[in-house]
Amino acid sequence: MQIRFWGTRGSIPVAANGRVIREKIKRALLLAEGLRFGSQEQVDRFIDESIEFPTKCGYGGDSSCIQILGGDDYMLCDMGSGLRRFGQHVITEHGPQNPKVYHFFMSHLHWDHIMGFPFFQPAYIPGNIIHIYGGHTVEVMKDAFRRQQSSPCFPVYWDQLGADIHFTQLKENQWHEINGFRIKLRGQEHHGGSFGYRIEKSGKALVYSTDAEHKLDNDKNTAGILDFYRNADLVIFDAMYSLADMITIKEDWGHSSNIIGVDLCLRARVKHYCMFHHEPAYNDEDLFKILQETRRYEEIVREALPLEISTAYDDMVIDL
Amino acid sequence: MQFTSQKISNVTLIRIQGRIDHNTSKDFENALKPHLDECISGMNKKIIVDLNGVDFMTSAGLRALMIAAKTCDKQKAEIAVAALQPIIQEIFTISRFDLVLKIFPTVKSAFENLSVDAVGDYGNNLSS
Ligand SMILES: [Zn+2]
Ligand SMILES: [Zn+2]
Repeated sequence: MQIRFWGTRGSIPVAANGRVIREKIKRALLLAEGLRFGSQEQVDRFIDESIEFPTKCGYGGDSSCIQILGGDDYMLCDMGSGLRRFGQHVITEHGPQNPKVYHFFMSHLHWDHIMGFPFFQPAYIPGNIIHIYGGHTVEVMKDAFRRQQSSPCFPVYWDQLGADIHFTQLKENQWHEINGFRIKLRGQEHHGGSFGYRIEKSGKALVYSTDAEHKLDNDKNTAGILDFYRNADLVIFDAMYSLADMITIKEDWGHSSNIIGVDLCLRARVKHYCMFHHEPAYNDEDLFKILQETRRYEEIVREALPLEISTAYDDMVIDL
Repeated sequence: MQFTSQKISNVTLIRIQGRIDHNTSKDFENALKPHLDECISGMNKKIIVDLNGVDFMTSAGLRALMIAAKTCDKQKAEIAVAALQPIIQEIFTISRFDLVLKIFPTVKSAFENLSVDAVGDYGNNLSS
């Protein structure tokens, strides 16, 4: 199984503006002061070895969309703005006239998780088959997509899409066999409800758990989350807020914190904890600092095996 | 986790010892609860939590502390934490609790901030 992140930002897409880019260039130039580069390779080596991640790359700004590779068909979770780039990638790879099957697993239907669909080119091409699965009812799902592509929100209406589109509600807490994977859903605390997915194949397990406020104030519910995460190879987790924000001014906003994720993943003996659904107000330096701090917290509270911790960025790839 | 509490002038001083994680956070809540009830009933409006004896705390402990702080806030009562071990201070910084809670380097400085009346009694208490 391989995971590709097409969008990792929470709530709304963001883009680096000129001032942000200028700051990055300045930092890089200061680091290179006095150096001479004999070749492009030397420049690349300098960037790879001497410049930190937030200066040379950054986390990107597309909203939630991840791809799970390892089945016959295309398979993704959520349709945030990152889906636009995924669609372009597919068209570039196969050309427009090569029908494919797509399986989408929806955490929920908030705008930041569906806004990529009107810009998903394969949806306009007859012959493509698109399955949209979720824990919400078919009516609720259809309604969200229809309203997004109707007047006055968007010029191309839902009924004008060329692809063959099917909606399916999946039952919670039971296994479903789709595209060669086994998949289970679990309801999460979020406005209007959201669903986490446990996706397994060939002895590997991924949990995609975004837009979830884990208050951990109910032992039974916490035990359910731990069971859902248990021994997963990778947990992609809504770590949008600091703990202080999560339980004060942003209480009931529907999101979790970086250190709640560490505590849950340590208790569930997860191998790799990946922070996701980044706060749009955070810049690359903020997210990088939070990653260092989260790793430090894990180091302090860990009692057994270490937990690998990363922060998802657009175009990141993880092999399981 | 163990705790003791004592009333010094108009301040309740709660001393916590040991680890506060998901296994012991209920005990921590129980240690705070009677004093929060006193805040609600108006019997007590100032609490200092001495964390000098705490060497391990996860989000479960921080959450209990925040619930206590919110309860005090609603009742216009004051709560402060004091004498954090460096490792606990680090956890407060990582969780941004340092931005939302009153934190003092020593119990004495917490008394000085919360209650001028109680400082003297706290000093006498130390020497007795
Ligand atoms: Zn979201
Ligand atoms: Zn949402």
